[in-house]
Amino acid sequence: MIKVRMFGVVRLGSGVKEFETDTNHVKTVSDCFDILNIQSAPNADKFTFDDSQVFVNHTRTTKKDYAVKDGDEVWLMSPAAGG
Amino acid sequence: MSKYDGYMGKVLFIDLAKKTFEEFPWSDEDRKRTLGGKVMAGDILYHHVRPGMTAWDDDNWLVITTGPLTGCGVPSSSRFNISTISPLTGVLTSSNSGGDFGLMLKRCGYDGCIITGKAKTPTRIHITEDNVEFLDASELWGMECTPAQEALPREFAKLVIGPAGEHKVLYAAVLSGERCSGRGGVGAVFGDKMLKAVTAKGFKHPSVYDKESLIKLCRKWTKTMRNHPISGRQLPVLGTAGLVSPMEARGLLATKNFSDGHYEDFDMVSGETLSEEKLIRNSGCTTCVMQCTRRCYVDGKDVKGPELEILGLMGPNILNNDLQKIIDWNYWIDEMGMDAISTAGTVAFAMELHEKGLWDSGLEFGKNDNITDMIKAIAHREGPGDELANGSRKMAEKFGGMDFAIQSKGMELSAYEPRRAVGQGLGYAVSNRGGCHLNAGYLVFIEGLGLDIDNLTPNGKGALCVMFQNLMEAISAAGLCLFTSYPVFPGYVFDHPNAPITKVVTWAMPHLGPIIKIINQHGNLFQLYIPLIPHTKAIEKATGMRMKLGGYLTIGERGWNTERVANMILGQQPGADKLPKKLTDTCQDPNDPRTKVPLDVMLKSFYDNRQWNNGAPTAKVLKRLKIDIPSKDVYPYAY
Repeated sequence: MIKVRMFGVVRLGSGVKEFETDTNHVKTVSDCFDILNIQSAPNADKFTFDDSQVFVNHTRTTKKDYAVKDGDEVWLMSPAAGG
Repeated sequence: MSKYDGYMGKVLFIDLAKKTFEEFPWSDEDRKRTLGGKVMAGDILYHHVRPGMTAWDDDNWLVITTGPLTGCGVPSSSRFNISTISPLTGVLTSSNSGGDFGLMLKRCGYDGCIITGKAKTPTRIHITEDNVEFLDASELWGMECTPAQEALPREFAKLVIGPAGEHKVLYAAVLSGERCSGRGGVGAVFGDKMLKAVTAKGFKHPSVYDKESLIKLCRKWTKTMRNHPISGRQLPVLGTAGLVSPMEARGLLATKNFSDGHYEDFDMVSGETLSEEKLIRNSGCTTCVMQCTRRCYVDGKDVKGPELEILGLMGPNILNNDLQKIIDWNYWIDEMGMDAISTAGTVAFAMELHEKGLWDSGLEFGKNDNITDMIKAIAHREGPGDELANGSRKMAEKFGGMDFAIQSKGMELSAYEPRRAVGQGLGYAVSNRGGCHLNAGYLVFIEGLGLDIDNLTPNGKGALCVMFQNLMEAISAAGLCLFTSYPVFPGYVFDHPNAPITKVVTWAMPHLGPIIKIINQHGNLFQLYIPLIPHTKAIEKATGMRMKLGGYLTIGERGWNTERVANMILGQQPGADKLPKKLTDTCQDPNDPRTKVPLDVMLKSFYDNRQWNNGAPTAKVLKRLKIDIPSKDVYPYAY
């Protein structure tokens, strides 16, 4: 199984906190967004790899075609600041 | 009066002991050199302090200042500053707040107010356009911050202290409405002077040099901020609380008194969970377009919710995953009138002292049922709370554990674990007021949170740190919120974090050290206007003062150097820019030798950029910045 968790504006905008999937449905980190956008409410914001920060097992990836595998935890989030 | 618009042209000098007031001399030349706010206050104190002076001296001045943009209709410009000698660090502190006091002080006709002397009985100072009254505050003494403010007329702007200030807790805060001037213990100096409150009521307004152009600029600026991914989306939607999860993702979330940067239960105390389960609505400072404050319930009352700092430091850093408890503690810390960061940092230190068997205060990691009582005990200096009221450095001097007392110059660090953002670690160490993330230059913003430059390399960090510090200092001096600096980076790089141009920007930044060094040391050469930094044009339109980027950065640099020299006059020694060994000698990840703060390497570059000698500004830099060089007996480092 692959666990996908959403944070920041991605989570509040889509209304989806997390979901689980597998390598039959998701081959790359980019595919996670397809499932996210299906699961989110009809009028919710749509997100893509290009506008989000993506982490796989606590490591940032900037590669759209980064392959995911069983046991991975993928985080989709937005850039942030504050202080 | 001033030839510049934007200013009210007068600074008030109040003597609490003599119950007198007069005008403090402050010229247009002074305004041009310092702008206002933090830099102005630093300059006033620089010319006042002497070796051996302490926070408790009768003539330790409280310097309350505004900026030229305060009250001129510029977005997020309600900030005011309080500077004084800190009882926590022994050197200058400056505490910036967004309450309405600064706006009202200007309406009374003053750009700033200096308070000296000590009253014999609890006192409230009331400032109006023509007068200053010294009123009995015996009935307010002992009150918590909200009841004390509610007991005063609604139409007054207020500064009040709570029980912590009255009991001289070394990190006591001053509150203006719900906004805190927390860092460094300005509230304790109020308490030492028996000053329970300062109130103000006036009707004047600053004149504006070119009102039409300023309004036009502000409309555009507001639009830019509202459309920016950070100031227009993340901050209004999640507040600073939205940083918990990005920090966890990058190993930046201080956990168990900075023993780690990851906390398994982080999402239980994250900004997202706060928004989903606890948020009533947003609010914010007067004149602010971001409205980043979270509002939550405590015992059915609608109160200001927690910021990132307390979520991190009273959550993962003490191994607590109970969000409602953090909301409650945040409320009680404010009611007692204490700095949330230092309170939480000291609590975590006490827990590690317990774990190591050095001192038992009753506080333990993962145990959260006695913390509300401890917060109140600290404020009233009761039982073990009396020790915690002195902060972690003094506790370490008494009980041991200096290597894991997470402070710099006596001030506790905020929630960013610097071993995964080493430039932020440098900033904590060199910050004039002590372990402050903002005075640090806030490099963590580009070391993983907003942008993603190499967070573990020391390369370029000294230069970047100086540049950001100078810019933030200047923003503060103008009376603006530091969050107005986020749109300095085009929204595109946040909206497209994986785009080639973003990758180029983030790769390049650590390599730009030599170029940034030129900007840092020859700011005045850059007589240009950059639309991404509209602050300078706003100052020109509001005041009529010529202000370009180079001059603006130089004001920030001047502020930094003045504060540093004042600190050294007060007794700070070369070598004071340091961090606890836990952060410099122990790797966060034992398998990755880069996960500790390489402070020595970065310090060298930082001092080189600042033209300092081992932490002391040299005669060369002081002359360049037109800062009076103190005599050799009080400041030998320039000779």
